[in-house]
Amino acid sequence: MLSIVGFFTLALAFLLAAYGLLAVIFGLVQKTPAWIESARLALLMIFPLVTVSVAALLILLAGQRFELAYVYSVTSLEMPLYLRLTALWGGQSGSLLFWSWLMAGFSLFFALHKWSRDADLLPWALLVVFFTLGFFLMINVFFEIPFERFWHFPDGSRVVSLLQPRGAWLLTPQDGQGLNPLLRHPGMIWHPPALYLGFTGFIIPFALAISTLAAGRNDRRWLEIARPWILIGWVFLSLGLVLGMRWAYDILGWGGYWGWDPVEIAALLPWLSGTALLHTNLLQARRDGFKRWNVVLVLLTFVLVIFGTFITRSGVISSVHAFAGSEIGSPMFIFTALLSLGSLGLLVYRWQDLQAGYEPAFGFNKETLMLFTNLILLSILVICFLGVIYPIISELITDTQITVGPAWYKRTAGPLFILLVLLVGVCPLAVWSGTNLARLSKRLRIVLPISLLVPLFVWLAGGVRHGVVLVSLWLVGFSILVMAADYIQQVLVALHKNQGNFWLALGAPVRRNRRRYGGVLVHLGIILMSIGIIGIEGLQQETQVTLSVGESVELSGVTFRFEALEHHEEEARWITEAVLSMSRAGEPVGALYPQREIYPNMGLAVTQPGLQGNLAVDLYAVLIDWRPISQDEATFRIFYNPLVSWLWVGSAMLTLGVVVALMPESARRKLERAAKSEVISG
Amino acid sequence: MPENLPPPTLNQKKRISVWAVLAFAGLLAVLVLMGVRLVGNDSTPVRLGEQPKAFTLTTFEGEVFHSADLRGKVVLVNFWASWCTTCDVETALLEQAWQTYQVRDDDAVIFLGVAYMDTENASRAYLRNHGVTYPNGPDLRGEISRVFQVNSVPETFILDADGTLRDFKIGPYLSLEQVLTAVDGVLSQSGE
Repeated sequence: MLSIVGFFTLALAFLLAAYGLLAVIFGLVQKTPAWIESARLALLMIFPLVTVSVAALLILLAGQRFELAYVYSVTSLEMPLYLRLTALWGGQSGSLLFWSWLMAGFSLFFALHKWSRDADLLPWALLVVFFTLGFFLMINVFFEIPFERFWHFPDGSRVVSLLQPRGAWLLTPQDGQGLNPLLRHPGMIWHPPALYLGFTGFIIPFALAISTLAAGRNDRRWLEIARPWILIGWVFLSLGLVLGMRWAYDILGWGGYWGWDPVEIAALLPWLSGTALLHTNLLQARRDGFKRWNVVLVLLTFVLVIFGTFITRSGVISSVHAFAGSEIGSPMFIFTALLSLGSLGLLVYRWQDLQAGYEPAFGFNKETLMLFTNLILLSILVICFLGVIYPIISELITDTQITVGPAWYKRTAGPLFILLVLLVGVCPLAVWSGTNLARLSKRLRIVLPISLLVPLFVWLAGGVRHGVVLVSLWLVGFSILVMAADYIQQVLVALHKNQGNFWLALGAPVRRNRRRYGGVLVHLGIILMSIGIIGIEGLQQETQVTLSVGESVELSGVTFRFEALEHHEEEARWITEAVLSMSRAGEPVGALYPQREIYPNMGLAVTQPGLQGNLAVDLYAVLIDWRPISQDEATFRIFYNPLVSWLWVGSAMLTLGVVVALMPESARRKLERAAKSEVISG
Repeated sequence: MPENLPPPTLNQKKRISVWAVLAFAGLLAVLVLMGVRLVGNDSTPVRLGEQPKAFTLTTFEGEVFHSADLRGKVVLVNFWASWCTTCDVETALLEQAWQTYQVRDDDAVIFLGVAYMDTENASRAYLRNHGVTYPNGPDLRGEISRVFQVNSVPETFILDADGTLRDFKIGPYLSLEQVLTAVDGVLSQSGE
């Protein structure tokens, strides 16, 4: 019954989207606002309907209703409730439903926004939303139906169908297949939703850009409306990527966080163009420049989101993330083609109208630096894109699929990432436009010598001799110092103004300009994240050894001693835990407890690395194997991961930055400003 | 609107149209590439009586099996995963069946196990816990499961001596008899 409710609300949502699409087209052709209004009301209804459908599936998942093929394929009796619920996005059809639901949520914006000033944008935006949302709902209604159930016939044959076939009985399996153990991780709660929020959130800027082009407008109004949504989409995308890294680091047991897997890259592509968009967005907001950049980047970002979804879900590319091949490949292909060709066509048609009212002046200024930043971001994007499609090209030409490995990306994109760190560092030194070298040299005279202490310190205290690492860390130190110097100067100015109240002055710059210092925090976050990346890419040490109890191995000055192998049983699972005590120069520094969990009833094994870390270094061990009979010999893979914690610290900083930038000015601040103007006028 | 703008100079117009053509060509190239790949990928499942594409299994022990080299033998390909709850019983049955053919000294049959969407550690532990002796290996880059269009586990495919698909089972075998009947059925067809 519940499955029927779930399906019919979904079908109704799809019909409304189809109706909305037709109504908008009719309204545009007939120039009848009533049709547009009717379409807007239809859009208002879609989200609640899909919500009911999602709720139905969640109840079925929680209730272990294995007669549903989807519930059967992603859950099993022994899974805890949180995993049964998050299995909503554990398989193809459920995750598509979740996707549609998020997108329907974002689409509400178009139904609820006050369009009075921009009535000409609404119909086109609705057109885009109904087309996109309608497509995903169609996939869920006709191709990947999460509500299909098992039925069996008297002759023993089995079918999967939504409704009861004639002469068949409902088949309820005792237990489900269960979720792939790699997905049984708390990361499952946050990583997919964050990423999906990032992906689907870009529907708003995309629809606004298309509607501006279609309506033939040339102003920056669409960007003003889209700006917070670009930031929101971008921060969720960033979080989704970082949470995925953390998950990989914790569960996959290869000591790293990023494997240059095609699907990882597919999620990185819109992040790169989205990051470029954040920069040009700022430039168009300040001056009327970069119009074409902005439109191109918004269209590109959303098309890349759809492209990534297509390659992940169609089975075109094989990856640990890929969903098993299904029939949605062809419809998704047609949709991707229509969306990208349509966007490009409209762009070309309106290209001449998008002339900027302002030409940037090249020189040592923020405009030029941002342009450089964007060119680098787009170069990385092109490298990554080629890496993703290279296996396909190679298969066409040589008949064997040649996959591009991490080494290739490191060599090609690595130097570009280092250049980005440099750009982040010098940007605060530049003025907005024109060139002011006096200011630059004044700052450099202080910052440059101090920043050289960073590699010197790392060389002497850390004993690091790796050239690229030293240069990168120097750039990191330089960037942080530049930001700090800038901030200190602002604090001093504030201190001067409010007669020495230090604590008030400390926060004053942020209070005065949230947008700017939100941006600074985001940049600081990126720089801190790059410390983690430099650490693991340049300084990671690893070894694989087989040790008997009592034996030890040394890695980077840390002695790991295999103390014991312990087995205990807990609720139908056997846990084997090794104890590795660690010491540095004879001084104990703690212990690692790498685990293997075996679920004997299910023949299921999960690795849990042992991890102990601080901001300087993570010590990380994986229990690979042990002798089951003697139980006194085990094989470990041990990693020495310097600085990796900064990756997580930086991502927290980045999120904070976006929150600061998005925070509306407080009522008090507005009052203060009003009071001030009264004083002045008085 | 374009009509309201001053007419673009010839030079400008020309440059833009070249860029536009390039952009369209690039996009179309990518789309065609994806489309070709999709058509190659979206092929209907292997049907009974057809030969699946060639595949190579490298076992956890490092032994390499090319499907083309196995002509002359009946090949049972079983997809399983350490996380699959219904594979458990079937794996035991397949091992029993494999032992049966080993006792018969029947060189005309080979079993190949393919670990589907699994990690190496977990797969090895699974095989050890179940005492599996027939060759097993990982489904590297999902290539073998793509040949057989496997969507879930367990699934089993039986190829005859010519490499033609003769029997398959979606879901687990439930008894030793089922396994033996299926394999012997293909064996007898091959013998004819």
